[in-house]
Amino acid sequence: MTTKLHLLLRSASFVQQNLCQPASRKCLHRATQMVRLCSTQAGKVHDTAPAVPVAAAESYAPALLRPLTETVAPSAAAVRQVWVENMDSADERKLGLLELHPEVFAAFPKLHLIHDNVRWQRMYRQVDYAATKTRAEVRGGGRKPHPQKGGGRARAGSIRSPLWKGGGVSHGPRGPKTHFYMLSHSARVGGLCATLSVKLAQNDLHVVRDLELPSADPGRLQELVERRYWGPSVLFVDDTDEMPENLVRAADQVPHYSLLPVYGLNVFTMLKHDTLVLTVAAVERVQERLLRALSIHNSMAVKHTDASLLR
Amino acid sequence: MLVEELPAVEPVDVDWSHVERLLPRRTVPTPTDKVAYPSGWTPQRGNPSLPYSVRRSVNHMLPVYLRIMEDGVKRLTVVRNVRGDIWKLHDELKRHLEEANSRYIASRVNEVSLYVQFKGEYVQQVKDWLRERGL
Repeated sequence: MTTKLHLLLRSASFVQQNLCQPASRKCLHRATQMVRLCSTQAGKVHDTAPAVPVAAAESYAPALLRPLTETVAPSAAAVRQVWVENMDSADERKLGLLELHPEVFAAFPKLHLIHDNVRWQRMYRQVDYAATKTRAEVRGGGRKPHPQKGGGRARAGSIRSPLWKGGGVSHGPRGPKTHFYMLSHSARVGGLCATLSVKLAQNDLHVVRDLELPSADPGRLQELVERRYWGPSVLFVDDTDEMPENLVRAADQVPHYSLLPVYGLNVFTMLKHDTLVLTVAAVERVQERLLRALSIHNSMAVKHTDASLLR
Repeated sequence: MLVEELPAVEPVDVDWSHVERLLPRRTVPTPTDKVAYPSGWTPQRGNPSLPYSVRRSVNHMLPVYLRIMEDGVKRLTVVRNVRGDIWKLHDELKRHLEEANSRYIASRVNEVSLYVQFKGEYVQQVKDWLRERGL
């Protein structure tokens, strides 16, 4: 944490004005500096698309996670940059630049993956409670209503046959039915990368240093959001699920501002909210997790938990 | 049982490396650096001069596949995960294949799914062509 703040303060003093400084590209964290190091190694030829995901910085990765190494680093043209903004006042200040890996934030927007994810998120929890009774389950109908022959009536074996009024349903819905299914690991990961890329490309993704607000006033938060032309609905994403108190109190009053930890990030919620606001820590975590997930083969992907990614 | 009654515990140094090497890995490891590999596999070197590139698979393999359809009659060579100028790659590769095979080759480009398809069985030729360019 101290390392992060130190680098940020240095860059903040360097880029104090609101004006953009495209010439001054300052990497904020060692995680992003790893990209620089890879690209400046002698003898390495760069590709527009990496074969293997970028290394996660050792200093910010948990001790048990092994950092991945890549054969070809993303080229400078492929790497995406985003401004790191402030949340401590309604006035917008750019505190520095953050580099984003193209595999996660510049993936091709595969709409079918986004659709599949949204559909899966809707359908896996759906239970259809429609149920009908068959002729065996409808009350009565055990006795033959009239003799087989004579009487001029059609032959009948029971008053609850599907032909009869009040009879059972032959091929109706049978009891509660679940629509649970698991979308493949690669589809889910691809959907997340595609959605993040779409949000970034459409200027709906903003990165902030942290989510510390000066006060718990929801009006002030709304003023901040409106001043920066962030969408009506905003999703604030942080690294942990313990959010700063002022933000929690303020966002609680506004129904269209949502708070989410990184582990809860999903395609449906990202699309539901117009603007995504991520902290620097959240971006690093998302990048690290998705890059690692992209190197998992479908057959190896059993569970989507931290424990399964330790090895 | 009270904490004081529990037997004493002492840490034992065990070398688990013989067990750990048998445990399956969750992620595909990066191949070790070598000059030449016995299988003929080459790592991706990258080519910044080209306007296109091809993303390797999770197992570091070239994404060139043969699709056999219609009970073996129809054979298609597919190059997946093409980035950058897909039409440029298609034009250059098609020219190369047609010259090498002295015949017209029907082809298809899908810009949305990022693949290029050739009618026929040219997987090895396509892979060699991609390897020459460091892709």
